[in-house]
Amino acid sequence: MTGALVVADTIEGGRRLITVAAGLNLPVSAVTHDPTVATGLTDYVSDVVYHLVGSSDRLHDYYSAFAGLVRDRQPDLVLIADTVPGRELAAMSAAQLDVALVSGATRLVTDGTRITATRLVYGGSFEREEQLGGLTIVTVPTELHHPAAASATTAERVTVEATADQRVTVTKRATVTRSGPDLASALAIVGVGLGLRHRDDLSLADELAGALDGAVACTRPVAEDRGWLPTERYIGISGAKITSDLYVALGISGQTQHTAGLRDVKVVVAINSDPAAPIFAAADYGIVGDLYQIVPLLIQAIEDSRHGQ
Amino acid sequence: MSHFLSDEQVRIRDVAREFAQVEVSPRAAEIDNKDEFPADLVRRAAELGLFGLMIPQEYGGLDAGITTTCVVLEEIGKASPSLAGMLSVQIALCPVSMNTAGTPEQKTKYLVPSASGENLMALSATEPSGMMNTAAHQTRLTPDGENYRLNGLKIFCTQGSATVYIVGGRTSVDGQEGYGAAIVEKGMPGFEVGKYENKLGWRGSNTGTLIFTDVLIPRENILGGILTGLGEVSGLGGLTGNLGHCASALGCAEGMLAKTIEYAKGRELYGQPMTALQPITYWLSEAWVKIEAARSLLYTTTRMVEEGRIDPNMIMACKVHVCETAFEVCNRLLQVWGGHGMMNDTGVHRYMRDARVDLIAEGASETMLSGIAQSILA
Amino acid sequence: MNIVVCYKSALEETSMLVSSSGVDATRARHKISDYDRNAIAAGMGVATETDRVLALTFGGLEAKKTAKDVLSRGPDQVYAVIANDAASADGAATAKVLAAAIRSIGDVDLVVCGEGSSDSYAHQVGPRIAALLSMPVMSELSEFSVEGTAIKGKRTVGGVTEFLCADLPAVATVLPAAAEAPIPGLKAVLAAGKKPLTEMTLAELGLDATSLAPKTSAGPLTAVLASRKRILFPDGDASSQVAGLVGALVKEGVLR
Repeated sequence: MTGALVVADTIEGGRRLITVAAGLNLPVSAVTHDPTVATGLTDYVSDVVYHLVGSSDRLHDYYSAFAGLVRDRQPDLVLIADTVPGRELAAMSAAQLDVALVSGATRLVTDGTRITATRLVYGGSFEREEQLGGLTIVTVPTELHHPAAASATTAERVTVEATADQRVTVTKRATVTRSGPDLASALAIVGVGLGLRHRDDLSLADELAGALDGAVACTRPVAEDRGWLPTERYIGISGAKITSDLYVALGISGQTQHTAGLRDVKVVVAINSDPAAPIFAAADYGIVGDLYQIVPLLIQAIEDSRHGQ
Repeated sequence: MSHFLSDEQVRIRDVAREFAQVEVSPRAAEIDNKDEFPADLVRRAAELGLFGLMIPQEYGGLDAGITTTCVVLEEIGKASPSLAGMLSVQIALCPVSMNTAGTPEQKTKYLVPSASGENLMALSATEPSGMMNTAAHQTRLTPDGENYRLNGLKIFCTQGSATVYIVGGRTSVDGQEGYGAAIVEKGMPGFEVGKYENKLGWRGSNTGTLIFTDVLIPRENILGGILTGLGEVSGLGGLTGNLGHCASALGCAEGMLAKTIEYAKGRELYGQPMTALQPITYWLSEAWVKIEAARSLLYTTTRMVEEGRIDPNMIMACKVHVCETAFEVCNRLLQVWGGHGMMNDTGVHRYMRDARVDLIAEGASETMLSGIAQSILA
Repeated sequence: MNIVVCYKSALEETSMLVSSSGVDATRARHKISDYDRNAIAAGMGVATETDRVLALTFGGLEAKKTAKDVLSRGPDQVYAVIANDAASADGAATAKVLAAAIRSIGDVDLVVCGEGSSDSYAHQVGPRIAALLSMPVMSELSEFSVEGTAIKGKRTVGGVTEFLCADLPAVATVLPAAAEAPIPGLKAVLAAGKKPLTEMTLAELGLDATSLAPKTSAGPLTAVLASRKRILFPDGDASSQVAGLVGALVKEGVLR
């Protein structure tokens, strides 16, 4: 096969990776372990949809079978979503295949003969291009791409019997309750950082997000160290990358690990009491001031502006 | 830091640097603002082993020498010159005084818990008549059988929340006047610490008045010779203590410069980044040059001390030059911050205020110049 | 139990100079990659009195310099595979070298890695090592513990918290949240000088430099400069700052 092989956990995730492949003018096949996803993707894929069938409900348990499929089909490029299980699957199959793995590619372009991937390094301070040589596995943050439109033809659906590595068992799962609109679809997002003094002050961010019809997010330490918001709400090089029209950073110092997630935001606003905070260099508009004073005024001013005053 | 550090000294510096950046820095402005003794950070410094830098290994210390000690205090001074000043007393002054003048029993009793952090130490000589005006000092140690009684008043004692105090008291033996030193412990009957002063700088460091009313000083708590004690404790200890303060002052200037550079880079004036305005860049580079000159003087001196070449003039020169430089640099750089620099919330004018205290504390600049003059004109 | 913690010496990004001609890393200092400090702390955290914690790294000569820092954080010994081209090695090569070293050390029950290195942050070496050594892997754990001959871990995947279990020997990659990396005290810093550092060569591990050549060709580093407007509303009156901001957002068309 020449072309791209896309790994899909969901139909939408698969469609976003298909967009990336299409951008490289590569015919696309897909692989998944979920029967609904397999059926659904036949409308979007040009070549074949492989459905791995086995005893596990976790796609990354099939890394060995997946590697076997890749060895068999010889794609030029493998695309996997840049998520926790995606990265595990990518690395383990890359090791079995002895191929390169480029993770977190923010851009993939081709000159017809070679594909070049761009990725962030050094915590988001720098980026570097890598020219791919031969079969490479690439993980991509899918939220940066639109889901592909339906293809002209329906793809062939092939079932593949697959053995899963089940040495790691999931003893329990707990769904973290989602609060408010999700970051991927929000047009406006309010982010909070360590400058927010008390957990209860999140209500201030909620109010501002409400006034903007948007969602609340945060920096990594607020989610991981303080536990004030679920980890899927933190924005940064290792977290969510947002593409909203507006982002308002409250009490966020602006480390590159966080601002790396803001590159595709249309307008960034920063409110921080420290005039030397790096966030101001990464923002379009900034107010040096106390967020506890500024935010209530801002909420009022937004509402007044809505009512045409 | 000195430009000539061994790998081990670099790693010790890195410990101090990480402590300063991660644990001290976030609290520094608050310590200054609220004027609260940062007991937790002082305890952390003890946990990291910093208290033992100048204490011999046989008493639980690291015996790392004055250069390493200054490197550590300098790193902490970048984040909080006030904390570094307090720690200098604990690390570079008192242990050396005790080690110079103390008997093996006294050293075991007081240096071991000091190294571990159980004891906080302070040294007090200043009286209302002036620190150097010893002839007018009133605090006295008078014999009481085999022991002594301490009566008097000391002011401006840095680290007034200590548990062990080295206190100077006038003495006389067979008509001969002298100046001894006693180890006074918190809780000794008749010993009170009066209210803490509200100061321009070094806020958070509890500067207190010590009141002695007939305090019974057991014979074994007399430090050094009865007529010469104060001289002994202020000798080497006074010198290393001064160098410790110089290190914290150097750090103070460096901390101010680093913050000012960040501020200038991020700020625009008249449509250009501030760093495009030449006068601003000159203030910044002049500060850099002055800091390097001060650094060279300080670490040349620490190296001389470690090699046994103890020249009080060099230490006095450090106290004048490094501390005056620190104040000059911090004051000049504050101008870069414009109105923001004046605001308490910005939290940056504390560097200038802390540096100002160093021009007086543990020997005013003028005292140093006087000492050098006497020496070079002799 | 023998626990191997893998770490990398990475360049300090703050000591890299950016100018119009590019990025100059010639005078940059090395440090233990940030997340690896947490991995070392995590390895120390699950070790009992009788366990041995061995730190392992693949690097150039700088690997020897950071070894003392690693030893001051608790491990009993450092194994360093030293090779001249280590700096250009990709995840595939690094994993091969580390897996070979772990095989050579022998009797390893647990391998702990950080979630990714502070420089390349590719999240791949840990799971690659697991595949090469045929060990199960639990990656990006926010908590983990060893209970008898099993390892237990917790992580969050797409809004769902998973509690995982696997038998040893196994590989775990950990997030900083799994263990705080305490600042080593001076006593530990001085004691590090007396702990052993064992150097290994690629030849000893049966590897040669050509088989480790990267399969992609990497371009130079370019600084990421946010091209934002950087407009600051004049300080002073909060109401006028806010009014200015709202006016600007309306003009930008992001305020509905």
